[in-house]
Amino acid sequence: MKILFKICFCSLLFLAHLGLAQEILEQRVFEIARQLRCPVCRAESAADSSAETSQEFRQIIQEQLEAGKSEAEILAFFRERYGDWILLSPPKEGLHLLVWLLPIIAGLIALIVLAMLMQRWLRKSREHVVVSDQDRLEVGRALEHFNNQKEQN
Amino acid sequence: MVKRFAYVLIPLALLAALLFYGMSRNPDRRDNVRSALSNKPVPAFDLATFDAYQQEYGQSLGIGEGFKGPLVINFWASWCPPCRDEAPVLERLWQDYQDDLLILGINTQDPQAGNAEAFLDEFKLSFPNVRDEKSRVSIDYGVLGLPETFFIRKDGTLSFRHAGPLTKDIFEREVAKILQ
Repeated sequence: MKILFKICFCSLLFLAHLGLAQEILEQRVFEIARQLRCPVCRAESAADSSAETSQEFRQIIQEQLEAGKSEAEILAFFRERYGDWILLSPPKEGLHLLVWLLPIIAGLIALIVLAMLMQRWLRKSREHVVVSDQDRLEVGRALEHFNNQKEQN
Repeated sequence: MVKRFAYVLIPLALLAALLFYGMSRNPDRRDNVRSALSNKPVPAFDLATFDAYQQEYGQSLGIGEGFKGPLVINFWASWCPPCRDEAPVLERLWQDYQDDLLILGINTQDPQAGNAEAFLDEFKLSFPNVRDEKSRVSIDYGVLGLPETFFIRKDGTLSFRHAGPLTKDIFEREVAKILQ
């Protein structure tokens, strides 16, 4: 009886292990497929699409994972056939680097321009204002005019 | 004044031009995507021939190591309307060019073999056709949509990939290059 119990327990443990391994493998397949474009769809990844080609993509990914290939090797397999176009995010190398760097460069330029403008505004605000006698006379006249109108009302 | 702001205006104009270029591109157009196989040896394959061609071409057809062209490979499916448009064009071209090169039709992304056979019957295609049941060959060739035609040189390297229905003009222009 004890031996039977042990056999049952070990079998259950083995089946649970198999199930878990399969689930992890499927997760890895979808993780990699999410980085690939479905070649026959519009704006869909190979993970989201149910097109026959996308299903085959996932099958190929699974076969290559089972054969011990790394994620980089699997992505390289698809790039060899479809070019960089197949990747949903452009690779961080060569001309594609521009896509990643341009927003940072644009942000830096904006910050530099803003800093220069603020410096100019601050410099202007600190400058001593020179008021001539003529200016004082004109302001005095305007105030007198304003007070007169106020009294009349 | 314009000179003073040039350092802001020029990068802004460049970014606007980049944005305009990106927005004006049609995501449905795939004929402007260059094949990753251009000027490289094309992948080998061996696929089952449709029954109608077995007597003349054997049970399977493909290209192996050391393959020598010239060859025109056309990927098609029975459900694809542009494939129906180009089928009669391809048949006429085969009649004109069969002494100079081989045209090989590859039926792909077509779940029902019966539909593909009906297509071949309907258009009376006399050049050999094979079936890529699991779409593996179309994946090896980086096919983006159907139909697509690959023009392969005598040395087995890819000269040109045409996405979309083939016309006589495109065929003749590209065939002249692979026959050189």
